[in-house]
Amino acid sequence: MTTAPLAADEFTAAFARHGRPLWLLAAAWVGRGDAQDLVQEAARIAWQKRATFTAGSELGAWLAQIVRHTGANWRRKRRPLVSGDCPEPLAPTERPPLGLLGIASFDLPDELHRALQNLPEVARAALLLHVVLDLPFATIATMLDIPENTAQSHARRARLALREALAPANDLPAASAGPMLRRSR
Amino acid sequence: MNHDDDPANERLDDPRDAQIYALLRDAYAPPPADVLVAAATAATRTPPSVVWQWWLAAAALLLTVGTWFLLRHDQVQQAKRHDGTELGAMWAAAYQHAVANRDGADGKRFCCDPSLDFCGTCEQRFAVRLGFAGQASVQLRGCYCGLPTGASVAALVDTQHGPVGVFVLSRDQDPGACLPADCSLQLARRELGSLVLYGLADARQPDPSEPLAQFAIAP
Repeated sequence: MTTAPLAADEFTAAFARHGRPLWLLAAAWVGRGDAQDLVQEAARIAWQKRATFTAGSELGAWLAQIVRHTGANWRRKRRPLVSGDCPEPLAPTERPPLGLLGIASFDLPDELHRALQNLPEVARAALLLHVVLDLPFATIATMLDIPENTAQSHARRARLALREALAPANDLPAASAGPMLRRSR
Repeated sequence: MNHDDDPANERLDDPRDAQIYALLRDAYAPPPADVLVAAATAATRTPPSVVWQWWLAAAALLLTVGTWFLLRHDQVQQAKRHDGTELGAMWAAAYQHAVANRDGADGKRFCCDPSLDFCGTCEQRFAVRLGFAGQASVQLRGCYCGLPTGASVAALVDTQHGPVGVFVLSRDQDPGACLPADCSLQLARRELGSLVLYGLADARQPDPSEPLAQFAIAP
């Protein structure tokens, strides 16, 4: 296998193509508030390590791997403040305020946000990439370095978990009917 | 969005899904692509980290010190690499080379460097000023500067019987030089203070000890 140096224009073009999925991946790992910083940091690391990129391989997958690894390191440094990596969901009385999670809640309902945060990172990423960007599971699987079926299973379980976190179907308003949901900003 | 291929849609009519999807799309809308491209562009312009530069400087320093140590060690060990027979063979080759080339085709001498101060060279190499009390019949032609001669200082002396090669070694670096069995030269040895002098001449000439006796340690 031969390696060729990655040119700057090729590098930035990759972010034009894969930047939005990479941002979502970062958001799945460290939250929306820090996603941009994580992408920036991952870009810096990727550029420094560009000599390790194998020419002809999937550049998006390589960048996604760096985002995931950088995100994992990021989370380890902030472990006491992040609840998303807890093995068991916290009881409502044990849950820390959302502001301490290191992840801004924006306009997500608390229940949905907590359910999302209690998911494993891979499941959260699989669901977000599929729902927000409408990416096929084959692409998601490549970005997460898992089999396609596994990516589908993660997305399915994540969706069921979010469903359970919300009110019964009959009580739920339409998407635009925000006031029925308790939101935290 | 195409939900047909979504295995999570075991209940596509669940109204919660539409709500969840809409909320997620709103909350997790990525920034515009140009913002992310700007992040990549900035990364390509980031100077190398200071830590990396420190590691490079440390490696360069280590390399310099290591090279210096190895070179110095090699200088000290240079004479010890040769045993007496090897050194004798080298000197025999050097002597024959010097004799064959002492007068060039244009009459210029080029096997030896008359301008090279023999006494100064010995002082530089052995910290001993080795002087030569030349007589009319014995003259120092100059320091030999041709083939390798080990760690010795070599010179060529002209006598009335012919040329004599003189090789000076520090006594602690003297392996006890001897000539190869089939060599047509003869070798004389003289110890002088911390130095050892060897004289090399053709076997048909008188004993080369006589020119060696002309050398003395200068104060």
